[in-house]
Amino acid sequence: MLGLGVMVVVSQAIAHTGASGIVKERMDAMSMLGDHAKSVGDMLKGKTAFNKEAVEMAAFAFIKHGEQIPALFPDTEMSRTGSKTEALPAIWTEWDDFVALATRFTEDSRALAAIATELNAGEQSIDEKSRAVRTAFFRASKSCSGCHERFRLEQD
Amino acid sequence: MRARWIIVSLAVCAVVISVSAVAYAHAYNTRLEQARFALFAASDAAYSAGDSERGESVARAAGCIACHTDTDNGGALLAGGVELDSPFGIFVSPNITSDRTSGIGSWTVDMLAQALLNGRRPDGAHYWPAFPYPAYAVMQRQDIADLYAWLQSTDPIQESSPEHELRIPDFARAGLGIWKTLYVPVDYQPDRFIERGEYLVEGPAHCAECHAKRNLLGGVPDRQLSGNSRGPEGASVPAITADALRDWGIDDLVFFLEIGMTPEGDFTGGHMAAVIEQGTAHLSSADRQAMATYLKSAANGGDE
Repeated sequence: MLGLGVMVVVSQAIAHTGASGIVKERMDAMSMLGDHAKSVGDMLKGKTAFNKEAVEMAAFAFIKHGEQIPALFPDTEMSRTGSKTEALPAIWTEWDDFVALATRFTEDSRALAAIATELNAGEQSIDEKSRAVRTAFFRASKSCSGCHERFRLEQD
Repeated sequence: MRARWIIVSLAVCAVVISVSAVAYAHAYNTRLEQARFALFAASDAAYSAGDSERGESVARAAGCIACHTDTDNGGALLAGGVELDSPFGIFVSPNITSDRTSGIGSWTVDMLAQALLNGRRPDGAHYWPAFPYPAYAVMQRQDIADLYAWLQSTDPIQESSPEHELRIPDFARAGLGIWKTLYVPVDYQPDRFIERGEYLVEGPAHCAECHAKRNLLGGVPDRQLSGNSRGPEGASVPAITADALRDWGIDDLVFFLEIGMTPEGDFTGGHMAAVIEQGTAHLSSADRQAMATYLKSAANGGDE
């Protein structure tokens, strides 16, 4: 728990140097999500032991972020063109689609949280738990790629 | 802007030269194509009638669906209409459903093989190499038979996709004979692929079409996967040589090909998101494992 906290802080500190204001705020939020996604991903890859609490923490972070996404992308000059931003103008020209993706992400993350919460020790094998989390995590992650595909500038 | 202008004028010069040499190149290229097709037709003695279920997997590996289905605008499966921006203008993918007029429902399996291996339309004209036949040129006979069976089994959609919007005139197609002699592998030799992963990466999955540098003629002279700073839509495409992927494990690559997540927990966007969602996510885990294993192998080289 503490280790994860430290990792989140460190990655926030080094990520996206040069950004400021709302751009930095949302980039930091994305980095934090990435750290949570990595922790779940590493479990599903078998790199780390299955950990129900970490899945729940990740899901809660996803839900919170999904709800905040529209507010993190206000239609302001700074938000559209701030230094280092990778946000594409399509966010604001196709705002309803953008918000719909954020909403889907929040809902799919709630489903992931519910599955993690239901995973009570002893009733299922680790493999079964892992499979259930895998399915729900994959579904939620489709919004990540789907949104980046249309609304994020891809850089090397 | 200036760079683009230079590219366009060089392309125009190249086209003029190509057209003047077309008679000679046409004959030479035709011989190469005939040789490739003859080797293909003689290959794979165990070849059997197409299996459409396996064919869907070939279509996924080859990215057919990502380029020929306008998912963003709710387009029907394989009905085309996807735009690909390039220094030569905008290419629009055609309808490849089983419809007999607007799709490819009236094709024979040999016509499909000629398209994939040789970049030839049934009417004998060349395809623009936005259609990645330099990679498909090594596709195995069984894969093409299976792919054919699956394509024929898809819903026929009667809907012609819009024309390409190119900066080069359509008659320049004739010059593609020269282009092919330069940038399509000369011999049909799928037997050289001992590893399935290498076959998938270099053949159907056509990774080099985006992950290797293109020259001013739009050719990929060196198919090493060392990245392309000016890829499709102007996006920068990363290097994926074994050297460039040194921080990725095979398991990281397998996971990436399944859901698009990097080892750091980021999710890919751009064209790669579609490549995964419409393609590699649907492959067998053995195929993803094979691709990842090849990408991490010494055969996939270093950065330089």
